[in-house]
Amino acid sequence: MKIIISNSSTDPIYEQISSQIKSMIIKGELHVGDSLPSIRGLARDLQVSVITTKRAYEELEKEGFIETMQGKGSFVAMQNKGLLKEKKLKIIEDKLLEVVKESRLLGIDYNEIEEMLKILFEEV
Amino acid sequence: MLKIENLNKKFKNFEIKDVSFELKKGYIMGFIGPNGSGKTTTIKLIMNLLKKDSGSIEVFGKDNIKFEREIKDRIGFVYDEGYFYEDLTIKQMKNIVAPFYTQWDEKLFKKYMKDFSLDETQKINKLSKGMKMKFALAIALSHNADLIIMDEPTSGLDPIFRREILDILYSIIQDENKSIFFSTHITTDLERIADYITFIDEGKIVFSKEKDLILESYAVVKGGNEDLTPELEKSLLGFRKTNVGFEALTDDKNMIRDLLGEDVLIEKPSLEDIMFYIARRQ
Amino acid sequence: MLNLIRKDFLVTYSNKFAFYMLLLLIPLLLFFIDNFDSNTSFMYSVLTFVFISTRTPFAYDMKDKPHLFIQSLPVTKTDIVISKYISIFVNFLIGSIFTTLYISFLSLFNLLDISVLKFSTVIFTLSVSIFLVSISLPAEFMFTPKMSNLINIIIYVIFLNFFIIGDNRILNFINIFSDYRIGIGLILVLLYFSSMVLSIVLYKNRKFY
Repeated sequence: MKIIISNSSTDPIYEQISSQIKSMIIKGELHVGDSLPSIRGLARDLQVSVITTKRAYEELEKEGFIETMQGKGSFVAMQNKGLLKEKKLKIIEDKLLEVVKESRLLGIDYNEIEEMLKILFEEV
Repeated sequence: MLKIENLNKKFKNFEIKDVSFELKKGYIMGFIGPNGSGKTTTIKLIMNLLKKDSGSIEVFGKDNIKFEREIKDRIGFVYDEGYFYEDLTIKQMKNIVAPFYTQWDEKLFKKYMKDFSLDETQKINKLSKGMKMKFALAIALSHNADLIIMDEPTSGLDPIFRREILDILYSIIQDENKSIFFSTHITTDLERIADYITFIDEGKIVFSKEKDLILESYAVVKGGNEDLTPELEKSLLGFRKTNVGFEALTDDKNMIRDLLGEDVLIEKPSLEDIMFYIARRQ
Repeated sequence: MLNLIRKDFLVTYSNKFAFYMLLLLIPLLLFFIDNFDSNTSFMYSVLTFVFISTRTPFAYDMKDKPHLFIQSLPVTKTDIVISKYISIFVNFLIGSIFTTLYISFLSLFNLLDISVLKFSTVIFTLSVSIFLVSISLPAEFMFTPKMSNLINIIIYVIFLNFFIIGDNRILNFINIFSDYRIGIGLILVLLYFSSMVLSIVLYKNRKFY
């Protein structure tokens, strides 16, 4: 399991943690039932406060990615196939939204974007 | 674990006024403030080294004076200076201290001695400051204390030592039944590890909140002097003007962003920034 | 409480200081052989011993401030004060035993006569010890170490002068003392305990630390 925190990023640390775990789950790097490090153990490994990791886990639990059992720890929750697809799409949607906003600012129109996407999908 | 309510203490030239804050089980609280702001006084009041004028101090839910012995049995205390009997050896000092605690764990003490590379037979006046600190920490940790109170434990230590001590604190806090209360003016130490920060200035509590919330709600604004209008000045929590621009602290970064947008740089603050600007303001 | 007394004991005797102290008793006694007999020698050396050994822990407090550390242990200020008052007796016991041994030793060389030493002298010395320390301890708890040092030296010098007058006066004094022993005993007890209470109050309200 790999979680890397950036101190210089403007994103709050708890968000960095939860989004990295989120993407690991969505990409399938973490499987249902896999156990996550304890809140305190993770805080120690990342050298952040316990409240930060707690908050990250709470968010993940709210969004249904993990579940926490008193005394046992936190585990990757059963992911509803449909919901999973939805979550994956949401990630792409958020990124595309940024692209659209930026395009408007820079004055680039839809056709140029479509061209660009085509080329990128072929090259990558 | 530790609950202070409306603590007051008056001295000739200085006063602690209405100090209140609370530390729950399982967390680390950093106690920050400029020199002379009342940090050490507050800690001395908690340990009943000084008599309070009014207010209540509860440790483990019990009054700190009525249950003084019981409470201190479960507190591991570390001063900024060793305050040991300098002519004694570590072993002799330990033999004086150990019988006072009902839960002294000799095995644990020996383990810390080994981890900290301390030699029992060494005389205390031959130890460096860092080693004295580690010894103090070893004692504080060897009687199953539930609350560790440290008064400026890292001042005077080099950054490597300081990191080591922070590592030790991290291992203590793995046990969610323990808490750590840690006063310092070296805020970089707290930036990572602290769960809560209590900031005291001129004898009064400025805030006592979750560290993450503090760092999120404040921001440092940097811009050109042309942008610094009088109304803006008023809304800032403190600023510094130079020939090439200004730097300020705000607790409403959205307002600043809406007002000045691209013209200024808005950055994540450090605890030092927050302390500096707020203390300056008073 | 026991731990505090033990602490003072360990601190005082853990290093060479105590060793030299006990050794010093001999020359002290020898110094007064011509003028004094066993009784006065006993009194003088035991009193000095009790006074010094009760005060030594405070001297360490002045140097490295270990009293701050001690107060972070599970003890109250009351415990600390009471332990000092109990240690008067502990120190008296140690001082008496060693002084008696030294006098016996010197008796072998006919420098002093141990058989002259009376039990009433021991009781008298104990009473004066209690008196002396009851006056000097509150000063320790009230003033800064440097100040109380000064005060205690003055107290000691006054008592010294009182004893160097000559041993006849002392013997008379001891006789008078025996006659009124119940009254004096009560006053002493009163003094001892009021001094203890005073010290506790002074220590608790001390503004510096």
